[in-house]
Amino acid sequence: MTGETAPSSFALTTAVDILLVRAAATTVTPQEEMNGTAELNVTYTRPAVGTASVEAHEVGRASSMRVLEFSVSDADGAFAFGRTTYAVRARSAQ
Amino acid sequence: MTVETRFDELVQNWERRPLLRELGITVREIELGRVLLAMERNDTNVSGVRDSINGGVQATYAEVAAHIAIGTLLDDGGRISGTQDVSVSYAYSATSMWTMAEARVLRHGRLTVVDVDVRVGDAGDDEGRLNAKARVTCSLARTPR
Repeated sequence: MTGETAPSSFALTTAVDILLVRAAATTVTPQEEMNGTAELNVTYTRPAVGTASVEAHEVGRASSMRVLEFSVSDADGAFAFGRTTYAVRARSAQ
Repeated sequence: MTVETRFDELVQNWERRPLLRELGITVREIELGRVLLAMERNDTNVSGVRDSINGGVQATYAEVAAHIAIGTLLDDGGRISGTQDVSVSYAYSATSMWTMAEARVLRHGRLTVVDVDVRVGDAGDDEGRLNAKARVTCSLARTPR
């Protein structure tokens, strides 16, 4: 995410969810499919400057969900932290 | 300046922002400490599972509603210095025709807390149903004169 001015938290909140959906998608098996965001919590400690990157790790899983913790960083270090839960379900037979 | 004039300016300032225009967000009702927004489904905000409105967009929608509700309470020189915290619980996929966000300020101070209900519904359904519940905390500051 790059801009001449600091990205607003509005843009960051949307971007974080989109990127985390991709991260969560890497944890589902071929027998499962993503079923939407169930919960999103993000805490900002300061405004972002320039390019921001998101790093996420799976910290918990069940047959119906994946839980990820994440941080968002710019050149000065991490400035936002959070946790998200994504619903997962068994892929329906076609 | 009357309260009505101040609210009109506040609404105009928000509704002309590219983010709100891109997401199809308009202000339906506004009063001290409360705002009701409407969001139309469009190619930008619909990108979730089952053609639902993206969860991140809904979180941003709640955040915008919170900022506007706080804006109704700011006096001269007061400003939002930033969002501190956004927490959203999603109950359903937002696949309905309309999506409304109602924000109410719970606490107004240096850290201001706002409760936001996101409701969805279809034609002929005035009440809709609760789709997501958000709480947004913002820090306030004062611009030096």
